[in-house]
Amino acid sequence: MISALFAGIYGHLPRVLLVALLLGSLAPQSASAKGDLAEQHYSRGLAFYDSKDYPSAIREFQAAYKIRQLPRILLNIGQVYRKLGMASTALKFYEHYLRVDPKAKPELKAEVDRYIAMTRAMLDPPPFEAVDDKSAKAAAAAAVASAPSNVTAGPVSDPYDLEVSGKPTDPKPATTGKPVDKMPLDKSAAHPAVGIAPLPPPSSSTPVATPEVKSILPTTMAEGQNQSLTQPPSVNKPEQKPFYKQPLFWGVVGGAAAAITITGIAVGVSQHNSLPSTVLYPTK
Amino acid sequence: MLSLKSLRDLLAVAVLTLGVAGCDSRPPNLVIVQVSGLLPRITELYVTMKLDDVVAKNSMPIPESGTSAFVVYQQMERFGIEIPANTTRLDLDVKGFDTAREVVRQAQGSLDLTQSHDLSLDLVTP
Repeated sequence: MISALFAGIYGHLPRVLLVALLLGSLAPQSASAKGDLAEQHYSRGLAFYDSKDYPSAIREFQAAYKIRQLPRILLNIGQVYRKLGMASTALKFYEHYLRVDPKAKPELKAEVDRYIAMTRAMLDPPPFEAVDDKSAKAAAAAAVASAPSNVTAGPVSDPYDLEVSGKPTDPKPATTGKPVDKMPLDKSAAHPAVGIAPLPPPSSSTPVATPEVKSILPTTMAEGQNQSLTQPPSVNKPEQKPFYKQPLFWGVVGGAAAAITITGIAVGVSQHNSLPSTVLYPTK
Repeated sequence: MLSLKSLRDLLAVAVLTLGVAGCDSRPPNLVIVQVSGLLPRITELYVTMKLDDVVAKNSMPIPESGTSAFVVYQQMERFGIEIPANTTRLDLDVKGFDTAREVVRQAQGSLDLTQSHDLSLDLVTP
């Protein structure tokens, strides 16, 4: 039994070593087994997301989050659930993200707020309740653990996943609803504006993230490169009926038709009965 | 609702208009003659008529036209004839003159006054 287990480990050893070496070359100063594993799950999650295998993407993001509690992963899980049309679950993860990372940069928070707005347009969720930081992280971890990963639903068409071809008035380039971190790893990159948060060194005592420690998963996403968050097309606007479905429109049309008809009849009757301008008065 | 209120207002106006129009009844002895086939060059209609086979006379004769002629200058497509009481038949002859006093088009028609007081004439080239 034990020998079989060792045999399995040794069978995968070259692959693990290769990945470890690769990652080690990227972040040699603080690479760790846990961090590597989290990154692997995370990268796989992104790959699955790209290939639209959303259930697998969720599983990988979940696995990554179990190892490293990066707030960004919560956001990505929310994105995947939104892609699956599971709006309430997506909302839950967006809100978990806001709870876990309350000091997110304003621009990123604004983007998340927009995601929440567009997801709420799909579903009317329960109101967001603020909780303290500790319980927020615990709740987020519990949500990740309990979130359905073996979903069978296929991807739904996302009305906000616009393949914008660059409108003249749109300052942003074409965007899609991507996970927030799709950039290649680069150890030299600074802490991104909306990129993945720095990974803390793995700790055997607690799984709680410590964002202040050195990053082993920096990204090259720079300021202004945040193309992953889709601009929602005015989702907060109330749905307006077409003008021909407005009661007022048909009231006016009907009124006008009635007025024309009645006026025509009235004119006809009036002309029929009215005296002609010339009247002859013959006598015998 | 605004639309229904507007509709009600329109209907009220329409009923009022119809009522006013309906009150404009014509005299019982008035025959209305509708003329078609008019041409732009026709400037007057020269009308002669018989009442119960008797040539009618114009109580206000036109100079150089005799006492039996009537002339219509305005709104020639529709004119009226007030028939003396107890007349049962009307025979009408209409000629359309141009400015050279030549007949451009003409028409004849008869009307049984016990049946109708409306006559339509279609002017044709003589």
